[in-house]
Amino acid sequence: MLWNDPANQILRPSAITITALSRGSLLRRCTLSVPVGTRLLVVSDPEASASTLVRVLAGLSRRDGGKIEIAGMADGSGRGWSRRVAHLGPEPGIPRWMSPREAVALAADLLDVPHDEASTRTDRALAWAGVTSAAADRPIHRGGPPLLQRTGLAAALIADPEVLLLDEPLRALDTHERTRLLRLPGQRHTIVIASRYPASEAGLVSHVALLRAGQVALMVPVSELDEAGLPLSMLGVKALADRLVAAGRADGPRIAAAAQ
Amino acid sequence: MSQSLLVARVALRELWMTFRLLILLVAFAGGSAVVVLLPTSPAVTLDRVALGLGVATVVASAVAAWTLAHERAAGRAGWLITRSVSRVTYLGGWLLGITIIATGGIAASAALAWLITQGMAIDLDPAAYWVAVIAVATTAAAAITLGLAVGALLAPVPAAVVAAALCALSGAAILLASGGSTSVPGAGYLLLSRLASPGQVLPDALRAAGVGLIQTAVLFVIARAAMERAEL
Repeated sequence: MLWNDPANQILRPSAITITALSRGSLLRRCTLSVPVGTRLLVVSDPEASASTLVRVLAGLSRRDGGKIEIAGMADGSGRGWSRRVAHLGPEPGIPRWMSPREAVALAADLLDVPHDEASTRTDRALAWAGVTSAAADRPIHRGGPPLLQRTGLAAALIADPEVLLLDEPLRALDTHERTRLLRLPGQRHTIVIASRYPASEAGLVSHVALLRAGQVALMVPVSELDEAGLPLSMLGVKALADRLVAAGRADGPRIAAAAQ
Repeated sequence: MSQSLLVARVALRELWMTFRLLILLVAFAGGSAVVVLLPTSPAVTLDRVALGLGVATVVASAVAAWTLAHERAAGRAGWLITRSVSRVTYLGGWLLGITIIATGGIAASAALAWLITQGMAIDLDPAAYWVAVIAVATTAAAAITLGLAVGALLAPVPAAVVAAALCALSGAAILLASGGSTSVPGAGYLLLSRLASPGQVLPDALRAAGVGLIQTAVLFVIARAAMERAEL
C-alpha cells in the first residue's frame, strides 16, 4: 500500500482535502485538510454542521459547491474513492429483518470483496464488533439498537476502508465498550468523528477541529487543549479558538501548522 | 452478482417482509378475481380486467413512491449508498424489484382472464392479447418509475398520495383527450378492453408496448435527477 511507504510517514499526504465546501447555512466555503492517519474529532457551532460535513463526505447529503478529494481522487463513484471510505451514522440503516451475518455479507458483496475472502472477513468483522456467533444468525431486531450498531460497525470495516467517517457512532453501547470498538488498530486509518459530546471521544482522537458558522475556526492536536489547561469539551474547544483569535494568530496558518 | 441485482434482491425481501409484495400481487390479480366471481359478457369481462389493471397500476405507483420515501427516511437507502452503490444503481434495483412483482401480478391476472374468456363464445387473438398485456406491463413500469421519482423528493405519505393522484389524473386525462384513439401513452388498457371487438389490435398493441418502454425510460431519467438531489 502506497500510504504505508516510510516516506509518507514524514510527508503525511492528505487523506481528505475539502476546498470551499458549501451546504446551505451549515457549511460555508469550508476548507480543511486531514492528513493520513489523523483521528479527527469535528465539533461545531451550530451543532448540525459537523454531522452535515460527515454526511456530505459520505455522499448522503448533496453539496451546494466546493471540492472534495479523498486519497487524491475527486471522483466519489465506485471507480473513485467510494470503496476506500466507510460511513457509520447514529442509526445504521440496515434492514432489521436481516441477520448481522447477512448484512455484513451483503456489504462484502456490494464492495466486491473477493468471494474466497468474504466469509473469513465477515466472521472477523463480526467478532471485532462483538457480535456473538449466536446473535450473528438471528434477525437484528431481536438484539435491539446495540446489535444494530455493532452490525453497522462490522459492515463498515468489512472492506478495510482507509477513511472512516463516523457520525455519533455506537451511542447505544456503554462508554467503555464504545471506546474499545472505535480504537481501531493500525496507523493508516484516517478517522473523522462528528460528535456533540467531545468528552466521550477522549482517547480516540488525535486532533480536534471546530466549525463555526460553517467554516473551520480551529484545527489543533488534542494535546494543545491539555497544554492550555482546557478540557476536551465544546466549551474547552471554543475557549481555545477564542484564545488563539485573541492572541492574533490567524486561523489559516494555525490550521496549516496543526496539519504538519 | 451485480450491484443492481443485489439491490433488487434486498428490495424484494423488504417488500415481502413488509407485506407490500402481497398488496401489489393482490392489487394486480384482484381485478381478474372479481371477473371470476362475477361472470358476464366477453366485452364487459375484458373491460373489467383492463379497469382492474388500471387501478392496480395506480396502487403500484403509490406503493413505489411510499417505499422509496420510507427507505430514505429510515436510512436504508443511505446505508446502501455508503456501501459504494451509486444512486442510479439503487434506483434501478428498486425499479427492477417492484416491476418484477407487478409483472408477476399482471401475468397472473392476464392468465386468469385468458382462462375465463376461453370458456366464452369469443375468438381472441392470442398474440394480440398477450402483446396488449405486455403493453399494460410497460405502462405499469412507467407508473412505478413515476412513483419512485416522487418518492425521491417527498415524505412517505405525501409521496404516495401525489404519485397516485398523478397517475390517476394522467390516465384519466389521456383517456378523455384521446377520443378513443389507441395512439396515446397507456393505450394498452384500452386495447385490452377492445380485444372482444372486431378489428386488428396487434399493431396498436405493439406500438403501445413501445410507447410504454419510452415512457419508462423518460421517467427514469427524471427519477434519476430527483434521486441525485435527494437527501439520504
